[in-house]
Amino acid sequence: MSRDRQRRLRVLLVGTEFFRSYGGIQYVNRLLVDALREFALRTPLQLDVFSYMDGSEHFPAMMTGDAPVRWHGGERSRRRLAWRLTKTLASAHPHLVLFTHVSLLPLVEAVRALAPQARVALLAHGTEVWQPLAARVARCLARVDSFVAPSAFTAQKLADVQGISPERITVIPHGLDPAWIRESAAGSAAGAAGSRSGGPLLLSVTRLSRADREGKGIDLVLQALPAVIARFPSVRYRVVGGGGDFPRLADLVRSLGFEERTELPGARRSDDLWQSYAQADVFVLPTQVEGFGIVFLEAMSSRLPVVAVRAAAAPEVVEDGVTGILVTPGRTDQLADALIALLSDEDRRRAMGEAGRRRVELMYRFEHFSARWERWLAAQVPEALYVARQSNALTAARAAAGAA
Amino acid sequence: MCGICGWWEERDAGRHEPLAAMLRQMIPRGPDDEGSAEFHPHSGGSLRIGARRLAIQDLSPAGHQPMVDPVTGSALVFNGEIFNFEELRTELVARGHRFRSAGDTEVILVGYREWGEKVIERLRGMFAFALWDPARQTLLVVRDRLGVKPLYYAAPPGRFVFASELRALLSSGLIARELDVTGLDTFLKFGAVQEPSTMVRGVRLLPAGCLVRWKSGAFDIKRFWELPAATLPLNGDARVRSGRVEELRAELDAAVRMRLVSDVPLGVFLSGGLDSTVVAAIAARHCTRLKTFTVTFAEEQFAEGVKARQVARLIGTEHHEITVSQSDLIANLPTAVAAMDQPTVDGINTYMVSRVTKQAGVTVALSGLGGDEQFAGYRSFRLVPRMEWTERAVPGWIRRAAGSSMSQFLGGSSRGQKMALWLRSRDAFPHPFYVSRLIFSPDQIARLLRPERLLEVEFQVFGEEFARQQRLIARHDPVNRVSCLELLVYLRNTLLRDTDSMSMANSLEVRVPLLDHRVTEKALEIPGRWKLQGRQRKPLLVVAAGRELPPKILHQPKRGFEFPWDQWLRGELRSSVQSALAEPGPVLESAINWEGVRDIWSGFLAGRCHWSRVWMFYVLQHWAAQNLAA
Repeated sequence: MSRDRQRRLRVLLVGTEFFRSYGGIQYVNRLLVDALREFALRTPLQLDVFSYMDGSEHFPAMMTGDAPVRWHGGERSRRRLAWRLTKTLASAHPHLVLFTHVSLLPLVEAVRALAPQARVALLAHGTEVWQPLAARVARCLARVDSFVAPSAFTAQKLADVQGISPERITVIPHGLDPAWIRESAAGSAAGAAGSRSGGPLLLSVTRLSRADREGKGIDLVLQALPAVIARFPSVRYRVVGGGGDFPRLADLVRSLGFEERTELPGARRSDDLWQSYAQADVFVLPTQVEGFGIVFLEAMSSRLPVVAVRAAAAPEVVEDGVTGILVTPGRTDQLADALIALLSDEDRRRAMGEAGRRRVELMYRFEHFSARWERWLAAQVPEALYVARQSNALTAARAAAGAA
Repeated sequence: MCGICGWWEERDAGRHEPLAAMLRQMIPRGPDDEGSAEFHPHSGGSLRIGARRLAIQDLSPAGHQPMVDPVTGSALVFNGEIFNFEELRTELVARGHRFRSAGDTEVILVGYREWGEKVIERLRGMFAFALWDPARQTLLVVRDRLGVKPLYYAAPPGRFVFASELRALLSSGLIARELDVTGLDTFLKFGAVQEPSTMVRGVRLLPAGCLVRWKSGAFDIKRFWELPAATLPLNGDARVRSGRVEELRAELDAAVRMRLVSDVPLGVFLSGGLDSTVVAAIAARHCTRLKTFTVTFAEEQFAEGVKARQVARLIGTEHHEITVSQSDLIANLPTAVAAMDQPTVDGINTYMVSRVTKQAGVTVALSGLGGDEQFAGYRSFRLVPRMEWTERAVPGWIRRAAGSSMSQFLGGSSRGQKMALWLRSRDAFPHPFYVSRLIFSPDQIARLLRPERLLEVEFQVFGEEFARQQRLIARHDPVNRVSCLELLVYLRNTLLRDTDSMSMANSLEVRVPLLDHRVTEKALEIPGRWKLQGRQRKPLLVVAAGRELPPKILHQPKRGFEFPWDQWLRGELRSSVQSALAEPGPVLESAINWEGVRDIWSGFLAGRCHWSRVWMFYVLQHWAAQNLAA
């Protein structure tokens, strides 16, 4: 008897990068694939993932062997990416095409031409949609059916700056992957058990890109540091992250005479990061350019109090006075006061750390993230999902009968 | 024949109204008597059971329900008929039991005293009953093997409630009048809600051949009967063959004979078709002055009176013809639609025939229902095995290509669309039979239901039921596979449900001897190809009837008892249907994309759509307005 194809929900995910480097966007892209794979366990789903930057060598073997997910690498060539996408569009008849970066939106024309039945969506991350877009990309926004933003702040920017009507935008906060929740718990326990050495440690984790130099606020922390040192002479500061702004920052640290107490280990992968979070006493990042701020979640998950500013999406993630302290953007004095207040009160630090951990457990676990995406997906393509679910139930019925 | 109901409430506030309301709702099912009783299980709460009775056997007050066993204290409410009750009674008397009444109800009660739950296996008939056993502190709720009698139940926390009618459950006020989208989904697929789903959220139809064992607030469901597991191996030996046919003949004969026992006027529906002719012919052998009834129509084009008259003359019955006119029928349509316990695409014919038969003074009627399903009377018996063959023999890519071109070229025909669906996607259903009975395809339903409600459709129950059916048919031959599926899907959920609700709405008991479980067992063990031999329709049934019937009857083409719906919907009924379908009403508005329904209506008027699709929404609209709350 011939083997027929099951009727699946067909989703195309088109992103800039998934594996090649480590950053917030890559992290969210991978998490999204994981969420959809989770969904595929219950519903017949065919997921085609297109990555502009990655090549086949970047896709982990365990992922490529996964039947419902097919990976297509663009190997940094827009033309190659477009060609692979075109081939799939013509044959796969997708129900939904989700772009995970606005810069890829010009490809929407190909989607509209080759898969007119497909619903098109865009996942916005943050700053990339806060400013008016190039005319060529802005035109493509009108061809998108629905938008997802990780925070109400970014959603508002989409509405105000890009002119997207609010009913087309859904806010889906990011989540932490299950390993993070697990390991950060273990890491913070280990940290608490005494692996820390030296004076109190302030931690920032961020990509050090030249473009975001002002926005990320590391300079601000360095400016606040003398006041903190006056109160806690042994205080140390560690900035984890790499990028184009790294040499300048290293020079700045030297020029301020903080090289003894400031560590710049560069970019670190998860296992090292857990250690840093576990060793730190306070997480500080007065960033004004976060579309969401996954590092806040990582810090909260590691039971660290967070010091940030009342700007962008930070107030949505960090609960002022409960899981951390929010200060006015640009105010070095307030930043120093907040750090001093936390460093001088261990009970408060611990209480805020616990509250942060609870907040993550309640709102930002992977399960919350995947459930929110699942609901969103179901609302986008209910008809295709209905047919796929029925097909799934009946295939199972056929298999059960066959087994009997 | 009766209506039964019951209610257990953990925190009982001493209310009697819910049970009383359920009983009131079921007055047409049992106009002759009413009774109820209250018990207090040791585990807490209060259990009330009640019955409305249509007296058929033992018309004396001794047949009153709930009937209580004076020895054990067990109490019974019972809907239906046990046709072998005299035999069981004799056996029980021989074992030293004494009876106070002459009917069948007490046989169940005393049988339970003697054999416990195993009494169910001895019962031959159509039944749904509830039995409270105070010694075991258990409530048994049982439904017959083939699903002739219904039994609905709901078990929200701290409560268990059951009744013979879904609308009775609703009238109790114990169940929220909320639409169940899974039930609606199955209604749209097959024209009738498929058990165990119902149109009301939280309410289930107890699957046929199953019993509920309720104890201390918890319950489990056990199956006590299933269709035969396999067709018996084919044996070329003529003696084996005639032996099997003889066994079937004997069961058929017994099944009809048993169903002639009644203390009220009884007759046989005689349409002039093969099934009712066979039933009447067998009945006439056991009954000297058998009454037969034919409903004929004043309009010549759908009158069937002549053939029925010929059969009646041949087998020597006292024949009655009841004539109705088209205007009578149309005038009674609203009452017929209002009598539906759940929406159904069929059923109006049964309502009309039941109504006029009851008016003619008959309380019990025998029908030929089940003949087509068990003796290969439908077109599906030739079509579906060919579809099965195609699935095995033709590569998937060829079928898909053929299916795609069919959708292009046969866009307007429902049958063409169904075939295209089946060819394109074999996994749309696990067996081609379902496609042959399909009204709206999954793709169409996906567009008809509102997106947010689509997600509510639960496929698990649906999948499990399909899996069970597939396991059941696996060891049958292709023809008997269709037989099993016709019995499990169309007969059980459409024909039997309609027959029960529509005849009961007229206080008429309909007995279905061809659906005696022993007849079914024998018929399904006989190889399917014996049922399709030669040019004779249903040859096995004809042989098993054991009587010479005239060729005119034997060779007449299959004729359903069909009203000219297409013509009516374009003519006399057009304005009322059009206005009903103009707006969805508050209940359906939240579930159905009504623009799609308006398209169906205009498609029908343009000749692109079968009348049944329009009728389904008309019926659904009325049913929802009467029974559900927004």
